[in-house]
Amino acid sequence: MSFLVFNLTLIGMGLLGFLLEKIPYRFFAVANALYALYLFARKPFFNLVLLGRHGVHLVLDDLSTCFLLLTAVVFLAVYTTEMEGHLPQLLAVTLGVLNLMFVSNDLFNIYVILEILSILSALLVIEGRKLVQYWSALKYIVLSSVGMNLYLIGTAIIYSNNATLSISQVEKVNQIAVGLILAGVLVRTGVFLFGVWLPDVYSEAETAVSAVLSGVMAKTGVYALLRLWPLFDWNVLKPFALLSIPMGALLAFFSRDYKRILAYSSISHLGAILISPISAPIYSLSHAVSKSWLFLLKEELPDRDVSNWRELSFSRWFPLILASLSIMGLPGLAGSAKTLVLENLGDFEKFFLEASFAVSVAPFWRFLFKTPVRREKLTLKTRDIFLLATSLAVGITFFKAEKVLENLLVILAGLPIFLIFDRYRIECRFIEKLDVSLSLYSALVVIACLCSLLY
Amino acid sequence: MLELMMFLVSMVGFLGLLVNKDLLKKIISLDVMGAGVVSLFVVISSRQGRKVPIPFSPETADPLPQALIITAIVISFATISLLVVLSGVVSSRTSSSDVEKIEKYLEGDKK
Repeated sequence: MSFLVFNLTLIGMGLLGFLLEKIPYRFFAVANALYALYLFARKPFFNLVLLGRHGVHLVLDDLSTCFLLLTAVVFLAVYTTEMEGHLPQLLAVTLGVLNLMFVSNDLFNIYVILEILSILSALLVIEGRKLVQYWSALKYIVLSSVGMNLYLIGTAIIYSNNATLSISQVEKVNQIAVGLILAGVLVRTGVFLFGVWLPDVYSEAETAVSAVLSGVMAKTGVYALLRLWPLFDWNVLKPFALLSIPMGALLAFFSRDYKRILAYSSISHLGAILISPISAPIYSLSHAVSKSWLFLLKEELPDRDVSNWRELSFSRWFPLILASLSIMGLPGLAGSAKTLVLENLGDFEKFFLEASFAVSVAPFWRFLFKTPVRREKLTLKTRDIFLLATSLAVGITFFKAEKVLENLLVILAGLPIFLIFDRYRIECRFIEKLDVSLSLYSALVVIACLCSLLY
Repeated sequence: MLELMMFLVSMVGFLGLLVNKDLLKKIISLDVMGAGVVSLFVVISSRQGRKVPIPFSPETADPLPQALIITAIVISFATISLLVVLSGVVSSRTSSSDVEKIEKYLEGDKK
């Protein structure tokens, strides 16, 4: 109960912030982090069923605490930066809603919160008041509300067969309904071809917003899928995930825009998250830490175009290298959770995944090759120290001595790819147009339904 | 039978979203799609009976889908109004409401 009260207070304080000035939101972020840590350590789990067997169902378990911790880390890091306008208030509301998302366990609750989050993320994206931001927010809302309408149709079919909304009580599963629900949720995760809105939204939004969007918002879809897992076979998602990893990595590699590289690489990592439900929470955590760190670093970098960086000052260069190494998966840092994804896979899939991981590492070699100016004293910001500590904590918790060589090999395999193909530059903006993405989506809905029927 | 018709209504909305090039028409199609979904829930709730569920008895309509869909209506109202605001800003800045023209304008803006 205290969990719900805490989050409603957060939302309330966020809304109050629009009337009053200077509410110290940083303390709320710290309080939230401490609370999430408490939930993670002491595990005061609850299992609330409201409305009898019709099911409004809230659950706090190991899965939720993992995602709550992820949210707390990202928001703590985001709140250390200077923000303008209504961003602090909006982010406080978002934090409360996100925390509530990560305890819901019934079809309708998930729907309501996903819709609220899509409205909130559109409001966050347009905070910079640029034309591109308005347009990308519009594309995002159109696609996600189409997806959510399909999700509702699926929910209606399941409710009429089972007379319940709680996922754990659903017995008769209609596969087409499940296909529609999956198509609705997948568009929120931003897997390749479902998530063509993603690069525009992530790269055009303000820095703090991009960090939140790629760090946490994308994981809400993953969480929803993990909760819906009893309804479908995870193999349905595998084709999308396997396509998404190399495509996102290639697009990231051939781009030169810093934020676009990060956005495309998010697509690739989301594919890796969706490979297996067992490694998904941990890999989400590791990806959230490294990716939001990279996004937050953008503020201090000279230019969005990577090829224009001549010489970086040492205290800018050093955190960039650490964050890149963290996402590349240096053993001991967060990204090394990659090896967990590779467990329990067939030989062919494993080889394919390792090859695509090597490609996804390649764009970050570009940052490693930038030269720093030596003469300066190194000053690290609190944000960098905090994120490095979390990254180390995650990396060391899931450290496996026998996987060190594998990790290093994947990183090194990225180097020749980077050296050979470095001079090419390809931009593929065609599929990001509104009409193209909508027609792609309509085809994908049919494919998702067919996949769900076949398995 | 009625369920299938409501499903078709929402699919018509989806089709309209694909076919129309005008932003406002796209938003209206999205609203049509939402209306189809809402009616689907109403049809499902009337399976047990069509009477008003106050006081509740087994012959009256199922109140739960109706309660749920009232939430969905509110949310889709919020989404649609946000979309209208966004498209208003976009079309006033680019002085066009045609999707292709707006995207061309944006490409020119970047260069």
